[in-house]
Amino acid sequence: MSHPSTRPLAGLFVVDASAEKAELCGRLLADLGAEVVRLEPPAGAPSRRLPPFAPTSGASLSFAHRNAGKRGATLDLTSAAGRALFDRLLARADVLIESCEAGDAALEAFDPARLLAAHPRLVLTSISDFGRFGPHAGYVGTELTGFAIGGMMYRAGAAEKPPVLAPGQFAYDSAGVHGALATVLALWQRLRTGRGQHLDVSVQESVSNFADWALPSFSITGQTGHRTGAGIYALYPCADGHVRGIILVKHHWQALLDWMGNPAELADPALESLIGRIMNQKKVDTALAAFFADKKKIDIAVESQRRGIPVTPLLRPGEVLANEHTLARGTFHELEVAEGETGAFPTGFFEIDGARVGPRERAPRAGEHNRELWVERVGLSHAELDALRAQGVI
Amino acid sequence: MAAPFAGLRVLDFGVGAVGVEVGRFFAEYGADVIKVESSTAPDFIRTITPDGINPAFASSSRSKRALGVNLKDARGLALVRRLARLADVLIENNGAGVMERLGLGYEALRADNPRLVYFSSNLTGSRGPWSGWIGYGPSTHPVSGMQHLWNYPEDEARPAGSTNIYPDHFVGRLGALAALAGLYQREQTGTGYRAEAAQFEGAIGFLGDLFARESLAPGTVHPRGNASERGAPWGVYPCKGEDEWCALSVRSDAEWRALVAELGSPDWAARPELATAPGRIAARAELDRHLSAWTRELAPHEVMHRLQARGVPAAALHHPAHELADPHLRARGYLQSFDQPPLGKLTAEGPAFRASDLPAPIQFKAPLLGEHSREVCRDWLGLSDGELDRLFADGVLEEPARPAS
Repeated sequence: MSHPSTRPLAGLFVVDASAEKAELCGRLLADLGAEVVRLEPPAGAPSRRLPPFAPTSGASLSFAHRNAGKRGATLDLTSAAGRALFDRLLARADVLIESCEAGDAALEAFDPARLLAAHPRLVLTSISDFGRFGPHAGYVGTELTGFAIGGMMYRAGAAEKPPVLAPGQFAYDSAGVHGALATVLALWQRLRTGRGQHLDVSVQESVSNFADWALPSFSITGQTGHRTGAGIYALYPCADGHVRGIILVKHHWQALLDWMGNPAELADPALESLIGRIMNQKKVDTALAAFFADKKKIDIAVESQRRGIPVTPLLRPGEVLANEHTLARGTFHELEVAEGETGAFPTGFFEIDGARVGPRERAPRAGEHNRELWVERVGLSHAELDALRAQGVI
Repeated sequence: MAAPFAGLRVLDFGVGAVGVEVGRFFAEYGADVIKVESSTAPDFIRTITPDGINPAFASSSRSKRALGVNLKDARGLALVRRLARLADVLIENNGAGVMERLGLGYEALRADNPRLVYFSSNLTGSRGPWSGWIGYGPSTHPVSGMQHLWNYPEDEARPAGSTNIYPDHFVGRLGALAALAGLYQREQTGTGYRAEAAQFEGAIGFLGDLFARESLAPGTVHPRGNASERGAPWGVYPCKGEDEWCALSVRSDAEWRALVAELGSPDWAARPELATAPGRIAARAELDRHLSAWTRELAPHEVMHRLQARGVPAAALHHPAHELADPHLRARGYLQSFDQPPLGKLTAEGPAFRASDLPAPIQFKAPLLGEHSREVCRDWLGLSDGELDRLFADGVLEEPARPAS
């Protein structure tokens, strides 16, 4: 039987000292059951100032989403007292995540040689725009520059316009996923070797990993492909928006013709092959647009899918939040973002043995669990904690 | 250094990219990953070219062995069920219910092998009124809200589109993570589990803050293009050459001053209201015009190096030719090359991380359909040559036709 209360990484202790970037790494480890403490400077992490914002409180929804399910503690890593306490914390940690960029004051606290000498079982996961070595290691970046140099952008958008960025924080979330995967791989390796290690995760390489097969194809054919809008993954207008139909194989095409009543203008053997349809794309698109013109996008998708044709509806954000499928699946749940303000957030990426595995609690306030962490786990006395608070270390 | 997954056995029923990429992760770190196909149900990425080998397929199925087996034959199915008894991980991304109908669903297999870790993924998940929908990576863009938002702000009524097959590779990493976490837990519990990731929810998971914003302030989330509310200038600018671009972001007043210095402190940049972010955001279009005039005369990497030397976030917009020539990626050992007959030397993406205590990822050519049917059945099940010959003769097992000598 499944044990929904036990998640696979239960028992692991992760210190997430991310700066601004790639907080999804710790989120995924927390989703899978690790205890993750979001360690911030006493003034709060810079990611608390990232858009989008909640309309009433002004709280960062990026922070709320990518730190849900973590605990919150504060520490000034630039002070000697803070660094000493950091070592006491790391003596109890399995994983440390950091995402400083070149020039950050805290970077010195994350020196891999020193940390691994002091804590040989620690897995240190560093996430940075270009990685921590190589000729561009000191370069700085943003979501936009990471997506651009990662090699996914040149094929996105209309041919007559500049390439266009994916929504959200695609580049940093991609690095978060690779960071989490590398971290669990290192923990697996530690089961055998008894040793931790340093992981150097690159945002550029993380995006490049999601750029389909453009690089291997280029290495053989010398062809790069071009920006052609939706290209062969056509988007057809309909009564209330658009649908995407990907009619790749012959039986998709025949099922579509059957639904359309086998119209004479499409009764052309040349159209039975994908190449033939691409050559005659205008004719096909015109006929489909006319057929879909009086039909609604969700109705088209449901009927197409019933007939075995891969069509999906182009939904606006509000239509994703509340459609029959996401409501039935529990794709979203309410989480507090500030006192009195609650928004709908995704419930997570995974189901394990049929149970959703995702954030169970809202993101922490800065230092919300300081007492629990520093007193109960690290062993400070209440008086020591209060003194460190007064000094601005915690 | 021993490969982390040495001794692990993986059955890979992946098609397209999602499951296939999960299998590749385990193969590169030392698991014996068996790609299970048949001539009537090959991985469709094979079928892009008639000979069954092309760069996309070679990249995603490298470092694996291949078994050709007819699952519609009772002996073929029984053979795969015997393999599943020995497997540590099974990966599949067929349509919802397909594996169950074949008799290879998790419940059926775990009765004989409670240690099995089983990963499934499909477009819309296995529950809910739209479960069982079919499609490809780009099919998730519309249904997850991503298509609507991945656009220029002025074109909201007209979707822009891209030919990226995201989120296939991304969900492949999620699957690797879920399967690996299952193995990690198995070290303590002794039992495996079934993990599932619906592809449309993967895409939604990258956009969670935008959905929260939409729920709190309905109608306020729109395509943002390349601009950011964090500052200006912030965007993609044309460079010298055909379809060459650079991206740059100014996050602070200090970065603005550094940019202006690199431009040679032109008069247009000296207006006092441009010294702070609100003034620059208000003048975004004007700044973009001036910057484009500057970048148009420069190669994308020249813009990157010159601005980075002053601490301003800037990058060349890469296509594969740039990646292949990137001295940084080369110095980091990111690019992985191997010989893939008949294509020649193929270069593909390596892991997105370097590790201080892991061996290099294992790279060898992707297999022909059924290329290792004989040796897999010998290695895993100890079948004799006589048994094997019979299974091949009866069409239960498949292997590539021998080249005419």
